[in-house]
Amino acid sequence: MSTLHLRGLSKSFGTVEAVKDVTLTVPGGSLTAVLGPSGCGKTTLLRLIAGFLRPDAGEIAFEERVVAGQGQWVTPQHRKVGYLPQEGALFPHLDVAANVGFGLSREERTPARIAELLDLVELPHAMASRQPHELSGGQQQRVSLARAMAPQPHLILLDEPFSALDTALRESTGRAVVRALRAAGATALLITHDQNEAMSLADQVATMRAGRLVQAATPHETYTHPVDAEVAQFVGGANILLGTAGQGVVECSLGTLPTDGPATGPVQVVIRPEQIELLPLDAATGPDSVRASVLEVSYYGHDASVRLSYASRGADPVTSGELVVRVNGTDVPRAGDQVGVRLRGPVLTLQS
Amino acid sequence: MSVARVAGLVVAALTLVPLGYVVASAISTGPVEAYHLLVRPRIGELLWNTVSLAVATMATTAVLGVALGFLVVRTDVVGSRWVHALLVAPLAVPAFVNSYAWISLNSSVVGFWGSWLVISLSYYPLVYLPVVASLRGLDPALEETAWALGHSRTRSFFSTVLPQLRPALLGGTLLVGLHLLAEFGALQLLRFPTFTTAIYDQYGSTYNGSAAPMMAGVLVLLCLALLLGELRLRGRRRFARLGAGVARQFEPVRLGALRWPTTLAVVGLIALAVGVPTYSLLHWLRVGSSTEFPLDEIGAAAGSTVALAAAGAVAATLCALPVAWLAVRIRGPWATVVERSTYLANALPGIVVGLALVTVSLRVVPATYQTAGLLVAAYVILFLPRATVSVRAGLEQAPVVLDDVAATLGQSRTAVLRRVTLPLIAPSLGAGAALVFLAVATELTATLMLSPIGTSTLATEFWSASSDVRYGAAAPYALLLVLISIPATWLLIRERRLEP
Repeated sequence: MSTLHLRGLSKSFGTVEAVKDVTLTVPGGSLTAVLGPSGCGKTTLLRLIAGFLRPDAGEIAFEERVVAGQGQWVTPQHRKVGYLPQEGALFPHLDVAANVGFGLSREERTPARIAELLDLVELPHAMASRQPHELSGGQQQRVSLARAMAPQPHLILLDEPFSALDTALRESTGRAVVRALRAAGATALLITHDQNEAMSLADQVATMRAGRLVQAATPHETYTHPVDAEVAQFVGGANILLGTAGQGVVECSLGTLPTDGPATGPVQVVIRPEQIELLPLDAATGPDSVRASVLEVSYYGHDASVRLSYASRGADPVTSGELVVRVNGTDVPRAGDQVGVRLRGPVLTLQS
Repeated sequence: MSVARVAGLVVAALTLVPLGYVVASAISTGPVEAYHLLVRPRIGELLWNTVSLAVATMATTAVLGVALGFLVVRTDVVGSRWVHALLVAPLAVPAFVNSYAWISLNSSVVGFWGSWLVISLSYYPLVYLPVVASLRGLDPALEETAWALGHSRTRSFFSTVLPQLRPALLGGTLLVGLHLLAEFGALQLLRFPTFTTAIYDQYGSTYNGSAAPMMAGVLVLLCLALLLGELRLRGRRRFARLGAGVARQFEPVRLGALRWPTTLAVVGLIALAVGVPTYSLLHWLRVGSSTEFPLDEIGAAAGSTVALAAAGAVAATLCALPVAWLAVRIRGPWATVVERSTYLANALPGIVVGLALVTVSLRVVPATYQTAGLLVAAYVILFLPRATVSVRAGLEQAPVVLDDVAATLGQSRTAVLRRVTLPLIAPSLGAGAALVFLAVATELTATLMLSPIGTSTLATEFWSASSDVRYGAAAPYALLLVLISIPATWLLIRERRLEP
């Protein structure tokens, strides 16, 4: 399995720049999720890598072998890239075994090889003789993965393969697909607009916006150190406040808070909902806490999301603000309650 | 790719020959001569006959189609499954055979009222079938909402059901109109002159250079008016289409005391539409078999019919391939122009296509006149849309993403065609070819005008016998024509069910 290199890749359709100067490395044997809202260019990126589209500029290389750019052009037929489209796209006229063996030569298409591939995607061998329409959506995706992996491609491209599945199936199918990719040591690129899917399945999250790659980092790094407020909000709920930072603290409407960021001067303060603690009103007396009233509660059982309005502290011209807080499901306030609010741990600051 | 584009343009050009001929002859006739040819009592009479019969049959078939559809799908009418099967059966009897069945039993079934009766009985399934499909596909939620808001069943039928039936109802009714404008055999037998029969007579007797094409021009204008309505509907129908899998059952309307009387009325209609032609055919078969039953003549006609129909089916399917490919895979303005022009040609009556090909072949390529090739070309022009619709539906079952997947699995373009696309569209190619085969086998008008000398088909043999009032001799041909139509009817019903 090869390392994928994208260098300065660009593609326009008419005046629309779908992909702008994207540089990204997907290390061999790892899974990178390309995360972004619809229309951000992630599908175009995938089609460029597969060879369905020609880039306007930049190059694509599998290890040292350039497949597009530098005057080189390798057709999709000769790229050895596995492709898993949305909804699986199994050949409807062929049974499971024939679908899985489609990319194999006649000699390679043995029952043993098919069984091996079905094992890899955790499907029973008895399924080999089924027709595609007899399979569930999750099973179709697994067959599609087995078909893509059969010719041992350099790289596997997954184009939102789980978006058509219902919530429960999406998670289990996603895990099964990742297990199969790991077992085969495959290099894979997963296109998705679902940040939970990207964060929970991938080794690296490449966040795209308006055709540009804005951040490529591990899921943990992306969550704890997003490059900007938009990424912070896209990969999980975030309260964004304005403040002034210096000497390890930041002044904002919630008071003076500790920060571990290097930023100084005017900054954006990112506060995750789980960083905020609710207190009884009479305990909210310290300099690190403010008073707030509960506007709205969304109860999910294991936890709840609470929207608060608070009176600001300090010199901020905004005299009040709103916060979204995540609290444990066992201790949920009611709308209209007066509470105290305190922050846990240092907050993230972004230079504005 | 450009191969498909060039092939599509060639096919479109072929299908536009008849229209081009009509326009060109109108121009070459000149305005003064055209005025003299068109503004005369004979033309006024033909126009009145054609339009009044079209309006009368369209109205009758619309009322019959909706009423019968509602009775079968939504009420507890007795034996609705059998009733449904019998109600679509007239599709298997070509209108000219049905006319023969009636007039051979009762010679007073002629003129306007005779034509109105026989044509309505022949054509009402064209409205009934789409209405039934549409009623079955309707989401009950809308009507149930109307009930919950306090509307009576009758009121909610008119406020929610009928508006949703409109595309099916109007589409079917316009189809009746187009069929009527093209109808030659039935109206000739029933002795009711319209533009179509007048063009044939003009062509057959006194060969007047510009009278026939001028009348054809008027007929084409009438067809185009109906086609425009159909195209506008087709555009809107997309929005009216329902999601797949709506199969919720309705609680049938209880007819109560009216249940048996209603059933009897439906049975009465079936007796007229199916019983009369069946009885008549059997009667003349019995009468005819005692006097003449020339097996070798029938065999020869059947043989040439099969050969011509097979050639027409293969040619039309081959021509449909680039048209459907352009429409599904390439799209864009060229594809639209090509596809629309083939539909335009389909709206032209067989008489116009026949007249155009006779004239154009004599003037441009005389060697093709009275050859089987020219007749097959006429069949392609007439029945191309039947093949295109099937091939198109098949190609839509073979989405581009499958080609992409196959390409990433290392398959060359020809391998993709062989291993993915062709296997996927083969059933639709077969169905399209079968539909054309059966349509050609029962085609009368163009075959009469273009068949090579000495070649007789089932339709032409039937025609010469029945127009000579040799009803017994016509019977075996009529029976074979009906038998050939049965599988086509079945295919059409199945397609309708697929596409509400």
